[in-house]
Amino acid sequence: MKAVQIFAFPALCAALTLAGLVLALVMDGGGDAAATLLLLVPPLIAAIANYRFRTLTKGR
Amino acid sequence: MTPQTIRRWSVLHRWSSLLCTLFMLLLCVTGLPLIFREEIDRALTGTGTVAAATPARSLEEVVATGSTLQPDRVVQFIVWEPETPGQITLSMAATATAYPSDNISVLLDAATGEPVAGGDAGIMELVLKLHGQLLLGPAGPPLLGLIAIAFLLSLLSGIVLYAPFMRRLPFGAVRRDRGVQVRRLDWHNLLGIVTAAWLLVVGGTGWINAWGGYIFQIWQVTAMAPTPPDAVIRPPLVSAGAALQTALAALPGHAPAIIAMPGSLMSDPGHYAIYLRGGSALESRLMRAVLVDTQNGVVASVPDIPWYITGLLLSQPLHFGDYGGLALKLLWAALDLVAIAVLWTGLRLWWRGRGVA
Repeated sequence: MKAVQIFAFPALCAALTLAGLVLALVMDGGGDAAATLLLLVPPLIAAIANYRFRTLTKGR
Repeated sequence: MTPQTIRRWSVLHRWSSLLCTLFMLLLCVTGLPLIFREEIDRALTGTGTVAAATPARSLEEVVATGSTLQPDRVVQFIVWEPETPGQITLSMAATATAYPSDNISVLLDAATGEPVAGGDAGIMELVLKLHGQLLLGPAGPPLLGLIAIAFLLSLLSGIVLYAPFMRRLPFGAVRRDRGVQVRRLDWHNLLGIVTAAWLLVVGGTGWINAWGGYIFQIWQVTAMAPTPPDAVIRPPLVSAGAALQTALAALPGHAPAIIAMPGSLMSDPGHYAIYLRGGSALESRLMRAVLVDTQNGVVASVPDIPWYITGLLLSQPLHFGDYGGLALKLLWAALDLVAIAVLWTGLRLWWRGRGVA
């Protein structure tokens, strides 16, 4: 696997996290909720990827 | 990446991590209650906000109460926290020019001027001193700054090492059939890379906060007259309350945040430095300063806030995660627990000595 592929999901997680942190800081009204949602996505992506890996390798 | 390069990054990752891990574990554990400081303080003091109709006491009366409670100390800072609109915090030091690391906070009800029950030097202040100074006084923040550098090096080298370790594995892989050590390594890599951006922000802002005192000293030298250690502070002829009203008139639409008394770290010997918050989310974090002469009550200047002070002011909410509602704080706490897991798995990997993360 190339580095670009390896870092695709981590880069997405990082971008979402940074966007969430900045939103909560600068946005009036609703920034807090939007930021919380954005920050929740990276752990969800990781959980789904981990679940997918577990189901794919089950029984091997 | 050649094997030799990987080995070099591994050495950097191992040693930078070892330098900071135990301190970082302490900081993560003490940081956890600090996320909920406002809620814990409220629960401990049992106070709410003051009814809007209640007339606030004059600032002089409130300061006088603080001086009565701590007769051996002088007020260095008067602080209004936006989360507790009915309260004023007096930060009190041994002398007017002392470095504020050993300050005592006295929490007063703005309406009655009475001390808030349990609001002085409570458990949270101790936790904050442990987190922000390691209970080492002025020597603590520079040490924490060095620990933060080691942590950031550890993070960056960990990100670099993620690629060679994951080149044959999909994102999210945790191999459960290869023994405890491999499973631990995979969890360490997964949790570390998913929270890398958050860890970089919290670590980076922690590093900036560690130098906060020095950053304000730089500004003091450039924007104000620095206070020599043996400076004699002339007794103000103008009260802090009157100076505050002058500053509020100079910057309409702002609310009081901090009054730095003459001679303190955030002011100079001849002026009150009055820091005001704006109305919007961003402006409420980027304070503006008004210097009011202590002898004639005239606005001496409204200095522009330089970029490094802006960075410091923004780094504080980003570090503690206390700038949002309860949902964001809970998420911050969950990320803090993940950080503890990353540190702990890294430590166990090294202790066992079989895998190199």
